[in-house]
Amino acid sequence: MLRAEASTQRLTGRTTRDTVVDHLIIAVAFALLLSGFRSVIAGNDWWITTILVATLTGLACAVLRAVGVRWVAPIAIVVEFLALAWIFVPGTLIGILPTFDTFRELGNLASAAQDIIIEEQAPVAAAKPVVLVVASSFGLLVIVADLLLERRRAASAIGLLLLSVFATPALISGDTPSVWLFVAVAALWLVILRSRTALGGTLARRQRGPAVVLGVAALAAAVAFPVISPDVSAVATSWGKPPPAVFGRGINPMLELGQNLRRNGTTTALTYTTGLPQAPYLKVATLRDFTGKTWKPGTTQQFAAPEGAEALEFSPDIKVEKESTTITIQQLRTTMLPVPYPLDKVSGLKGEWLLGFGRTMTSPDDDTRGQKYSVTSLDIQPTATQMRAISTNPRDLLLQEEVRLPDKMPKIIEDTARRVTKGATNQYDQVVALQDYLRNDGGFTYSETAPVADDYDGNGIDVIAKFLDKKSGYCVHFSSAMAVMARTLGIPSRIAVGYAPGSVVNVKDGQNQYEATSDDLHAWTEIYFEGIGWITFEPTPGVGSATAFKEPGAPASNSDDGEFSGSPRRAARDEATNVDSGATPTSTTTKTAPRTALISFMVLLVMIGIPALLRWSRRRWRISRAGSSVDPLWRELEDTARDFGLPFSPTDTPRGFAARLRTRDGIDGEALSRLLRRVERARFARSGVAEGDGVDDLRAVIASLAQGASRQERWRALALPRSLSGRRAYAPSGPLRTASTLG
Amino acid sequence: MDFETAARAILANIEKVIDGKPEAAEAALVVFLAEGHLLIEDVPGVGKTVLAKALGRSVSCSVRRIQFTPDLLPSDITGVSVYNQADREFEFKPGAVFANIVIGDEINRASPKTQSALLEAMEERQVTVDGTTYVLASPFTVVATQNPYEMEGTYALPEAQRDRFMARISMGYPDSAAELAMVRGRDAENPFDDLESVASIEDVQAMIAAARAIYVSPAVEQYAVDIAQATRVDADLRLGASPRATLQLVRAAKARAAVQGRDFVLPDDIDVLVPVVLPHRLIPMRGASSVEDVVDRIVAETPVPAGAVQPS
Repeated sequence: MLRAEASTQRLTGRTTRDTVVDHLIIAVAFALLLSGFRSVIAGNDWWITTILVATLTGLACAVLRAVGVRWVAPIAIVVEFLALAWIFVPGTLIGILPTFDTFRELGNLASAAQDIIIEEQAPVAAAKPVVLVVASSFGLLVIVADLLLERRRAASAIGLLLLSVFATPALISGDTPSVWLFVAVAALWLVILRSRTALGGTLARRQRGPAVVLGVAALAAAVAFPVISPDVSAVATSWGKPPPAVFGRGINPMLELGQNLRRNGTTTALTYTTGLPQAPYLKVATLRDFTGKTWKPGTTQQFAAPEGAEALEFSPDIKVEKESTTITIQQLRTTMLPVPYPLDKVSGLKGEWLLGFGRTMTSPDDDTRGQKYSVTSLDIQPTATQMRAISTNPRDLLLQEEVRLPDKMPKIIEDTARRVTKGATNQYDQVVALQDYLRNDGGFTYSETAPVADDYDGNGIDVIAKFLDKKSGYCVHFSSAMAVMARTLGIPSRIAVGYAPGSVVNVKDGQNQYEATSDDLHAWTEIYFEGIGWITFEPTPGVGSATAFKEPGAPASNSDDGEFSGSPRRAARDEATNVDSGATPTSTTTKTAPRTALISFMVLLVMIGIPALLRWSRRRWRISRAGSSVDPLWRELEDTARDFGLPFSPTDTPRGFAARLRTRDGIDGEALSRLLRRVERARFARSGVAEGDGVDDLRAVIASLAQGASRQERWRALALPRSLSGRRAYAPSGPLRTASTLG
Repeated sequence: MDFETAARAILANIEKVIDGKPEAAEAALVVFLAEGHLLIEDVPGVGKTVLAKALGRSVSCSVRRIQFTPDLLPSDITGVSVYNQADREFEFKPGAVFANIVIGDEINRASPKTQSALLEAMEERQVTVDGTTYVLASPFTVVATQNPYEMEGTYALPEAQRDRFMARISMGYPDSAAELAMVRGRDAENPFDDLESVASIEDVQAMIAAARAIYVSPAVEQYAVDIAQATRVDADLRLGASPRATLQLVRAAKARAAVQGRDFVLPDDIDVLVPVVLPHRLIPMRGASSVEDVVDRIVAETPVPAGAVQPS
């Protein structure tokens, strides 16, 4: 038979079958909970590995229990360790015996996992270290669950364990946990609870109440989830307030960019197909406010519809084509949508997305996860001649922000700009000269690490100066340098952050399918040309291609300027203001309505419930000890009375306390008397043993106490039990006290 | 006859003649069964003597009453050896103290010498006259009365003497309903006439033995000691309770528990008895509140030990 029958602390009156059923239920619950971790870890292999480790560990526990071995948990831990070693570092084992190498290699994997956990955003790739951590954690959870199952009164602890495992992936990734998963696991837990309450007798009766309460609470929480639909990342959505989040929860999108680029491991951010002749840059954010220390989005109302310089208004003789790009997000979570510039129209988005500054789309509540959308963007094809004819006056266009520079400028920046653009007579030639200088002629090299090594990482004005001197850096430095140099020449410029054109991974339906990975994270420069708008330039060597427009006389297929008759301005504008009816807030409210963070909700729920839970478990514990002594019952009564506002006094005799209790409305006097006799006999008589355990009397008195209390008192007693705050002495008041002080 | 029935019968009997004073009756019975002595301090005419007499008659004990006056001699109390001419030897003539219940009316009017003769008899439960020791009756209880308001020409009991009394009670005036009932019932006939004894002296002796055997838990013992200790350190008291006071407190608590039909003492017994057992032994500081108030405060401030079980 099982060891479970050996001690009274353990479950008694249960068969091996019951135990096995309990273990099976827990196993199913864990397997279900494991599926919740899909939002944290990409792929499927880890799932199988974890199940394998957990199963081996659980099997070990079951066998050990069946055999009747004493130290189940330590042995199970050893088994789990061997299983992990066998799966992850099989080469280091001699037979099944671990060697020094086993420990070292597992240690290496663990520390690698630590790095990944610290550095990477969820979902992380299912790399070996990550799987090791997940598998070993679940193995340990199985052992803990096994221990808890052996205890008679651990049903609530098991519930907490399951809840915490359920909440973990959401805490890590900010994903919405599945309601169905919650309901399924909660149901399994109720089955466990029921199997333990079905033991018959008083135990069952006593557990039924809490079980029902917890069950109802679980159900209520499950129902509440979709309504208060949770999203952690929604906390940092706004450009206007720090911290702005582009790629996760970073502080500065520019600095963050460098960190993202230097990170090991590549994840696919998105895939797309496009009708554009070239794979487009996908812009996520636009930074125009250069403070001298960093680039910031600027102070203008971010969600305001784009006007002025952002409007898609072109001189009628400039060739503009509309093309569609279909983007599928793979592993990217941000509240800003990667879109080609200039965006005209978006369709297929889930949730509420607003067209904002820089013609990018942001969402106050939703993010990019799981999105698949189609973007219509404009392909503006002016000729070089047309470009050269443009002279932009920032003052007329309300573009002061875009030419503003810090007061103190290192001389090298403007000097370089002047030197490079010497001979250029118009804005276009100047900009192209700057681009070529940084990209080709200046002798700059691309390096993600040099700036860090030489301590000039970042994008402040001094960093740019140093960069122009050292001539080594990455996109942040190139784009920033070009934008600032353009500004020194009075040309409006800004920085765009997003994805550089990705690489072709597939050809589907005659269209190239591109993939942008975390390595394609990029920053580039946008320059404003009056009458055309913002034009993308690429100063970073080796990325994309340099921007140059068709020179007159060069062979071209679509050089007919007259093709664009009619009124493209009007049409473009109408479409621009009416982004997509599918993305308006009203039609999507059902899905994304007012959201708060799930985790805050759950944490709040748990925090609110903690006092009640503690109080409840204390009561349970005391009642469980009623058989051997009535004292816990009396203390419970004292505490309950305190919960209901009847202060405890250490100078009270039981009888005195009972007398005070009797002054409450509706108190069950008879039960109280019986309980009082019992406790007096127990404490003060020669032989304190009385028949029964008094639990029913206690319950009757507590029930009558609650019944006589006001609704407010009852809630107070439930949610904020005073008795949890220690046994505060009750100072005698009234005539007794004053008599001595008055003299 | 079991203890509780007997006790109830005695109390019911006493209440036939003393209207509306159950606490005084109970205190008298408790002191009687605890083999202590009772000091009743009150104005005349509130039923002090009636109470003592009713108690004596209810248990078919011998009751003797001594009216203390300044010229009362110690030998009037203890008795005297008289030379018997016929037998040619001294013969002991027992004094008033040879009875089960001795009522000492206005004890403070007698000379200190006479008072001390009584008090020695109370403590020793025996009388020695001319080298011969005479054991007093059992049970033996002195019920002494004092008028607290008429102080002229009296010899107030010194503290040491007061300590010999187990309890001091005051009868207090009856409330108007009780007084009305008394006026109506007492006018025509003397209620003493049909007051019958409800317990034999053997019963009483058995009850006293039973009361001694009542169980006092360590917690309650501790509680009594705590209270006594508290009186000794209290800022409002010049003289605290003596160890004898603690002893008598516990003894009285046992008797009360028995009267209440319990075979163990509750802290509540202590609580009830402290105000009658302790105050007459204590001396307040000058300017402090009354001893009764101080004692009430001490009781209210002393924690009650919860018994052997450790706090959960």
